[in-house]
Amino acid sequence: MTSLAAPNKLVPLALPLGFIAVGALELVVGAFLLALYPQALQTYRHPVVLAAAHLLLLGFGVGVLMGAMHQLLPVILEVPLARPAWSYAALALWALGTPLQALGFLEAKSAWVALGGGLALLGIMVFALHMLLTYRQADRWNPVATALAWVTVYVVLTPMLGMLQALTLRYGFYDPNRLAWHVVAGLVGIFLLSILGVGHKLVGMFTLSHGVGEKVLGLELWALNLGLLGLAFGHWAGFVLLAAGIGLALYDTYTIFRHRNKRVFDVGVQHFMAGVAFLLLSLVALALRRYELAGLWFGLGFVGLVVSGMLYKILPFLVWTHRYAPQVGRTPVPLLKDMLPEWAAHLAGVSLGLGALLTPFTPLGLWCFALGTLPFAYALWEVNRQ
Amino acid sequence: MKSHSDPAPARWAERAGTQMTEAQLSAETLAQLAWEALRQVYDPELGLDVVNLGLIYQVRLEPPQAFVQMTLTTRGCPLHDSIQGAIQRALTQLPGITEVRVELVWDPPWSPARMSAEARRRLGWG
Repeated sequence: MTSLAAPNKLVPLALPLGFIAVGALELVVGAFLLALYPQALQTYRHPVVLAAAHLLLLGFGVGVLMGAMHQLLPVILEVPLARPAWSYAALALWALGTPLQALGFLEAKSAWVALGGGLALLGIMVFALHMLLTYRQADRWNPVATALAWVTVYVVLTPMLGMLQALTLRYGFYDPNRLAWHVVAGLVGIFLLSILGVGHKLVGMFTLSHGVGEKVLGLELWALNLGLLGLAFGHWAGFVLLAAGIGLALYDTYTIFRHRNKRVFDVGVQHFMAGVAFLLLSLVALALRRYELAGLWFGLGFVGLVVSGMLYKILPFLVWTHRYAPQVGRTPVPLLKDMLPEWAAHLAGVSLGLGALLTPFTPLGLWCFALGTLPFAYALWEVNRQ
Repeated sequence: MKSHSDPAPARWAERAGTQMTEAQLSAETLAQLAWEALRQVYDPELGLDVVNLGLIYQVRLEPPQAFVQMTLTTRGCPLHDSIQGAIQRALTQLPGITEVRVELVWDPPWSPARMSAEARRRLGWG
């Protein structure tokens, strides 16, 4: 059964929904901010770039990840969440902290940045502690759980490095290399590991893939973690290991698709495939030392498309489980695909993809991406409204 | 909009009841009604019912009790809470059935070979 429902104990809908809703809002704001100030991309420490990057990655990316993990972890570990009530505090702190931090960057108010970043970090730490307690309940372990455990480490480490960077900028001992650690831990540690780890499970479920082992995923995790370490210290082996990890991930994805029992790829899986194409593009750009290009294609293309695509699958399931599952057998209820306005999801996918592809070359790309966030948000809204 | 599960068994039971009472309902007819009822329990993601997906291993009817042994396509996907409820609701609508027990097993594991030709066709392979 292709299911994301948590075992025995339903996760309160407000939790994942809260993270996803705030995250989606921050995506829209961050994307339009960049579209309105395209010249900001010329300097990586421009206030608009810092604000937008944190809204898109710490807001949207991490928000969706935290929301989805409340649903995914019980499914992957086959145990209920340890302390669901704690996550309301995590949600409140993170939802308050991330916009305040972005506003601080825009208004050049370092106190707001510190307070916002501190609140977001505190929220993330509460989330991580909750996940840790949930991991401890598990009797069975697998590489997908390992991937999420690593992600939990990086999701705490990344903002800590960011905070350290900000503090040293003010109080001394500033080291520009730490910015690279912050970025690499965020992009590779959080997003690459979570997307490839969770993607292995989710894409397999969504395509009804059968008979695919988890050994390749295990190797992938080794390669990516060691690669991350190498990249953080600027060693060439870091890039080689990163490339090897991505190569293994591509092979794993190909195997999942080859063993699928559902022939047609739906809109969520199509987004995943397009996102993986962007991952390849960013790797090529990284090899050519075009760091800005690599970052934009990774952040907007890979993270943007994969996360939005997975949400088209996760959110309908969450809503269905809470609203319709108890009615099954009594009244007719919709299938998941009936809950998503697919035209909006397709429109968003084309617009986000085209926007991500063009952004390094023309400001119009940023507008295309920003406009794509609107049908995306509409699609999620419609799912929730059902 | 496709129905995940339709309370049709009650109608079939009514139809059957026009010709025979509950006591007279043969075991064979009741089994047919039970399998028909299970065909109305859908996986909301795939749009396929649990019978065509090959998830049902055994159905035993001993009025007023019914027993269903089933599996899922993969471990760690516990939609069985929803499916269990749906199966219970579907089968308790059969004449004479008031109690339904659903057992989830992983051995033998599900494989695509258990799917019906109809399921394969609807998944795009026909």
